[in-house]
Formats: sequence, structure tokens, C-alpha cells
Amino acid sequence: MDEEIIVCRCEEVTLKEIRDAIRSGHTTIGELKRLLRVGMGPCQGRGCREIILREISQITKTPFEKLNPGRFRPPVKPIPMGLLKQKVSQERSD
Amino acid sequence: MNTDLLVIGGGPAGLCAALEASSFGCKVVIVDESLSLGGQLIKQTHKFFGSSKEFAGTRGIEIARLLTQEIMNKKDNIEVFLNTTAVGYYADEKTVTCMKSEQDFFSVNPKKIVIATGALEKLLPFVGNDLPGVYGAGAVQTLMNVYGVVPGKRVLMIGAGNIGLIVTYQLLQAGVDVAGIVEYAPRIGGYWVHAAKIRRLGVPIYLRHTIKKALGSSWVEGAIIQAVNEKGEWYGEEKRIDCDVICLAVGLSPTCELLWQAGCEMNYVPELSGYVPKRDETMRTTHPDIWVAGDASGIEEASSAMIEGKIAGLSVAHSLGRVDDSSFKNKLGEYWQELDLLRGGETAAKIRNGVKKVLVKSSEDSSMNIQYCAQSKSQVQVIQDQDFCSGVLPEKMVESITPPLELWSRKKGGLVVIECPQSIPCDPCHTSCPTGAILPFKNINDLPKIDYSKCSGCALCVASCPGLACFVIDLTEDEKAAIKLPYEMFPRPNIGEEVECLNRKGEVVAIGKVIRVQEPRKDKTVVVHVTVPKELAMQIRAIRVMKHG
Amino acid sequence: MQLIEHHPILQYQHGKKVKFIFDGQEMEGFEGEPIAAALHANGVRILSYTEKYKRPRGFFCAIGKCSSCFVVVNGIPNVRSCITPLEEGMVIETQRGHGTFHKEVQDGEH
Ligand SMILES: Cc1cc2nc3c(=O)[nH]c(=O)nc-3n(C[C@H](O)[C@H](O)[C@H](O)COP(=O)(O)OP(=O)(O)OC[C@H]3O[C@@H](n4cnc5c(N)ncnc54)[C@H](O)[C@@H]3O)c2cc1C
Ligand code: SF4
Ligand code: SF4
Ligand code: FES
Repeated sequence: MDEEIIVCRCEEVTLKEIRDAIRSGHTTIGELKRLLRVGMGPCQGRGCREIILREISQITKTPFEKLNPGRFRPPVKPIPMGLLKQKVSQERSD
Repeated sequence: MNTDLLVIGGGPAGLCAALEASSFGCKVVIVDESLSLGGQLIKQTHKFFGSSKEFAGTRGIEIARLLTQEIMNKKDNIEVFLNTTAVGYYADEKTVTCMKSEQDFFSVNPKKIVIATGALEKLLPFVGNDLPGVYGAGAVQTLMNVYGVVPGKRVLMIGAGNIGLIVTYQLLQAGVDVAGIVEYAPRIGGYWVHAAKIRRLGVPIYLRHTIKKALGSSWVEGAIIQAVNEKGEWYGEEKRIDCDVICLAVGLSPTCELLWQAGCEMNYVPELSGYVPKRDETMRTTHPDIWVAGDASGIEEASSAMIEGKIAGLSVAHSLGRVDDSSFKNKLGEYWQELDLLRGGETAAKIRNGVKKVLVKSSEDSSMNIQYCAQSKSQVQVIQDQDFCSGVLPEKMVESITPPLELWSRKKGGLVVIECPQSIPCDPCHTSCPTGAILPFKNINDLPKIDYSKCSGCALCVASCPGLACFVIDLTEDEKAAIKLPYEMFPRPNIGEEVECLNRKGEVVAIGKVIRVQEPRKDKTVVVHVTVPKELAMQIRAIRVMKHG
Repeated sequence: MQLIEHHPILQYQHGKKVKFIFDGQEMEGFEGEPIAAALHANGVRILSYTEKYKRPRGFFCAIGKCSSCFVVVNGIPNVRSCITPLEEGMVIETQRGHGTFHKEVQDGEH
């Protein structure tokens, strides 16, 4: 059943993929991000981060509070590329 | 753009922060990504709990309107940007970048920031959880309560916390069928009175069950649910539920991205439902220019969000030198007293513990003598009864709420019957009672106590109680009893009309006749007087208008 | 349109009725209301198909936070339809797969 459950909606990563990766030693959000792209979609892991941390916690038997939730970088929202460029050029012209 | 204070999020917390700071002359900018101010409040059609001094007994939408009006009255000091998302905090430049209408882009350089970004619905992993038709409870509310769009024909609700219970009731009000509520825990998590409201309208609650699968290929066509044991393992038979919407109400998590970005120290606190920033008693985070308030600081409720907002706004004004020390301390003390009162009850024990974990003492505060997070002394009695745990008053408890018979049987106009067995922060029954029959509350979390000798049967409490837990029953006729009960559905019954009478589990037990329909508070809760067989007077708790034609 | 006609508590104040195009079909909605609400009222529940498994997606949070409700508006992909107000004459399309922009932004993460 796990292979049918989508945990990260944006990047379409299944519960099975996540569990397999954790079991094979990728036990941080950062590693899972690089391996599976979980939490790298436009919602920035808002939906899936907690579910993934809970899986890590269960499989590695680490209390949830002790886990590293990974890094949060701006932008919080998917900004169309053009807009970022606009900002840069604006700053240059300032 | 420069400003004294940037408030991110225009829900109750953010609006109160803005109002408070501007009342001391601070220039404020509010950004909110939605299309109107008010946050979660704009979809809350139910009456709020809390103290009547604040907004208890008032519907959420009405509170949003009042707060927005106040903001508009302060146009000179407060500037509002709607449809504008704060997308990032750039620490080096102390800049917040904002995006308007998914297109235009500008930055704000505020002296201080209050982050009041509210919360996000939690997801649940199950097969098909990403199908169209699996909606968050907030989304369902927005659709039907703000935009008047029918969310679906038949909804399965997941989660029996306050949100699941309230949204179920709101769906019924919008004329949508609710197939049931699925709850993982062995008891409802929300207020008991909210559960009682929907049980008596016939919605089942499946305790110790969870959803396994959403059925359908293009969108939701049904769901499979199953029981779970204490260890969380599936057992028993799978049940198929027909529905076209699965509504997730399994909790909210604080929206914390901006706080992380700004480098605020964060802790995972299960009692507050997620990662939340450490803060001092002025709601200032570990970042000297950033405050937090409302659900973003831990999932709680609107009344406390408003007070937290005021505290943050006050403290911002103080840090900018707009308030002198002594008025600052006085006001802060008052706000904390209000917070402690709200958090005094049985249901708020969790919040108290959570807040303690992230509350740090501020350096400037050593001289203050305020007891933050004071514990109330109320005794909590946990009732294990199966019916009680899903919002139905068990037979054996009925006696405890029955008025003394020799007075009752002679009392023209009837006596009040209150079915409110759980300590919650709520008091409109008392404040609405003109005769003093419902005794004053020492603590807002007390259970209502009644002096039956004073009750006139006026039913003002029936119309005021946000839990719809007050009824008046008149036994003075020979064969029939007259029940005055609260009614908030469509259509209203007419005088003389026959209606179905439902017991606490929503079973039709009699056909009654409507003898009067009044709306004492002119706020859309009507009191329907209906005559029923006398022996059913302590069973019937709701009516349903039979399909016309 | 699938609108609530009678409500015991609420009276809906809809804005001006406007016409828009969804996947080539003309529809009606109210100006200023979110695109997602207008589409839902017209019976549209599928807003996009995912990149990898081509799964249908609708909205989820309706407050701009989950990015589940992307559509293409006037040629621009990845528009959150739940918080973008409807305008007269908008041309809206079902989004297929990722839009082009946000990946580049995300790749800057590490
Ligand atoms: C179904 C339901 C029933 C409830 N019933 C009650 C009740 O009976 N009594 C009670 O006291 N409370 C109740 N509550 C809780 C109450 O509504 C919330 O606790 C309260 O609204 C929290 O206020 P807030 O200001 O922190 O957040 P919100 O009201 O969520 O407001 C946050 C605002 O921030 C905006 N925002 C978020 N991120 C950004 C960003 N990056 N940029 C710009 N803007 C942003 C959002 O658009 C939103 O408008 C209920 C909640 C729900 C869902
Ligand atoms: S019926 Fe009237 S008098 Fe009796 S308790 Fe209620 S409000 Fe008070
Ligand atoms: S009976 Fe009183 S305390 Fe109980 S829900 Fe009603 S108003 Fe609140
Ligand atoms: S539905 Fe979540 S962002 Fe639009």
C-alpha cells in the first residue's frame, strides 16, 4: 500500500520511496531532499515535512523533538523567475 | 517602503497587533495574502466561545467585520496590502520581500515585524490523498461560507477536533449531507457541546477509526475506513463510505517559514502543534526585531490570538519608545491576566504546558510580578462512557441535569435544562440570563450552575449559548411537554407545522408540532417551541423540518 | 452554477458577473472571487495534472499555502488559483506538469 501513498504532493514522492531511503541510511531531511527532491516543490515542504520527520523518527527511533527539520530559505513562495531578476536589476539601478 | 511596524498576516492576531501599535502612534503596514482581512474568522459562521467581555457569543464573521472596520478607521496610521504574500526575509538587509497578485514585487524595510501568519492544515498519508475532492477543512469553509459555493453532495469528515465538528455543523447548515466523522482517538478531541450539536442531527462519529483509501480515478467517489486498535493496527472489516468530498480536519500546523528564515530559535512543541519560536512574555522572539502572535506561535484559538496580538503590538510600541515603562507594564499585566483566564480550563491544559516550554524570561522584566501561565485549580474528571466520548449524553447522566420535579411540574413557562458537562472557557449562558438563575461564574471555565427557583423560562440563554446546550422544558400541560430549543438550520419551520423530533443520537422518535418561533437576539439563532409527548421531554433535543411537498 | 441558495445565517454578496474561458469553454463567475471558487462552482474540480504520474489535482488549502491549485492564467503557469481574483475575459487552462519557472528558483536552494 505504501507505494500508492503520495507524501510529497509537489514532487510526487511515495511513502515507500521515503521509507526505503530512510532504511538505507538517508536519515536527514537534507539528504532526502537531495535524493528524492521531497519538500523541494513550490509548497516548500509545508505539507510533507512533518510526515517525513515522523517516519525518520519511527525508523531511527529518535524522538521527534531531536530531529533537524532542515533548512528554510527564502523565497517562501514560488516566485516566477522573472520577478527575481526584476529585483536584482532594480537593486543594481538603485 | 519604510515603516515602523510590518504586520505579516491580517487575521485576528495581526489586526490586533496593528491596532494596538497604531494606538501609540506607530506607522503600520499590514500585508495579507488573501483577498480580505480577518484570517480564519471570515469563514466562521458559528458563535465564538470565550468571555462575553471579549467577543463570546458573537459569530466569527462578525468579529472580522468589527476588526476590519477599526482598521479602516485608522487609515492615517495603518496601510493595508491585500493579495500580498510576504515571500522572504533577508536578514542582511532587514528586508521583507512581498509579492502582490502573484506578479508585482516590492520590498518593505520595517523597524519591527510582527509575524502573524496563522496556520496550515495538516496532511494525512493515505491512498489517494491527493485526489481532487480531498480538501482541507479550511478550504471547505472558504468555499461555502465565503463564496457560497457548494463543496459537494456528501462529505466524509476526518477528525473530530473542534474544526472537524464545527465544519460538519456548517456543512449541514449549507444543506450538504455529512456521511460521518472518522476519529483516530477513542474520544472526540473538540468541545463536547460541538459534538452533541451534530450527533443530535444524526451524523455518526466513528471513534478509533481512520481512513485507509480515497476511491475514484479523477476525483473522490468514496472512501474506505477501518477500525484501529490501541497500537494503531487495522482490524475488523473495511467499511465503504459513499462521498464526493473527503474533508481533512486533522489539525493545523503553525506557519513558520519566515521565522526560520529570520533565524529565530525554534522548538518542536507537540502541544502547540509544530515548530514554534521561543518567545518572551512580550511575544518577542529571539530575533530582537521580530515578534510572533496567534496561531503562528502555537495553535490555539481566536480570543488568545487577539490578546497575543495586542501584547506584541504593545511591546513593539514600547521598544520604539512610544509607551512609557509603567503603562507598558500595567497593560502587559492586564493582557496576561486575560490570557491566563482563557487558558485556565481543562481543554487548555495542553496549551499551558506547551507555552511553558518556549516561554523565556526577557531581560527587562525582572522587576515585574506577573505570573505567566497560572494554573487553574479546576478538578478534571475523565468520563469513559462510549456515548459520552462521542458527544451523546448517556442515560445515567440525564438525572444530573434534570430540574427538581415538584417545582418543575408546576412551573408555567418551564425550566432550563443545560447539557454542558465539560469545562470550557465560555459564559454567555450566565451573562444572557436576566433573572440570575444561571449563577455567576467564578472562573470562565466553570460549569454552569443553576438556581431553578429564579428561572422564568424566558429562553434567552437558549438563544445565546454558542454550544446550543441550553433548553427550556415546560411540563405544565397534561399530555404534552413544550420544549424550547435552539435552531439554526434552513428552512425555518412555521407555526402549526409538524416537524420530526430527534433524540440525542439523531433518531426520529416523535412528530411534534411547532407552537412558536422567536428570535430573541436577532442574530439568526431562533428558539423553536415545539410540543412533544411528555415522556420524551428529556430525550428530544432537536427538530427537523420535513421536506416540503 | 453550484451555488448555495439558502443559508440560515449567511447572505452572500457576490460581485459583478463576468465571463471567462476555461480550456476553451466559456464560463461565468463573479469578479474578484478566487479563480478556484469560480471553477468549482462551474463543476471543475481538476485544476492540473502532475508531471511524473499525470495524477489529477484540485485545490487543497484554499489559502495560498499548499500550491496544489496551480493553473495557467493568460499564459502564465503556476498561478495559485485559490487566491487569485477572477477578472473579466481571463483565459484559464488546466496546467500540465510543472510550469517552467519555479524549478529554477528552487534549484538555487543548495
Ligand atoms: C473551523 C474553525 C473553527 C474555529 N472556532 C473557533 C472558536 O470558536 N473560537 C475561537 O476562539 N477560535 C476558533 N478558531 C480558531 C481561530 O480562527 C484561529 O485560532 C485564529 O484565526 C488565529 O488567528 P491568527 O491571526 O493567528 O491566524 P489566521 O486567522 O489564520 O490569519 C493569518 C493570516 O495571515 C495571512 N498570511 C499567512 N502567511 C502570509 C504571508 N506569508 N504573507 C502574507 N499574509 C500571510 C493569511 O492569509 C491569513 O489571513 C477556529 C478555527 C477554525 C479553522
Ligand atoms: S430560561 Fe431565562 S431565566 Fe431561565 S436560565 Fe435561561 S435565561 Fe435564565
Ligand atoms: S451552557 Fe454556558 S458554558 Fe456551556 S456552552 Fe452554553 S454558554 Fe457556554
Ligand atoms: S489550494 Fe493551497 S495554495 Fe491554493
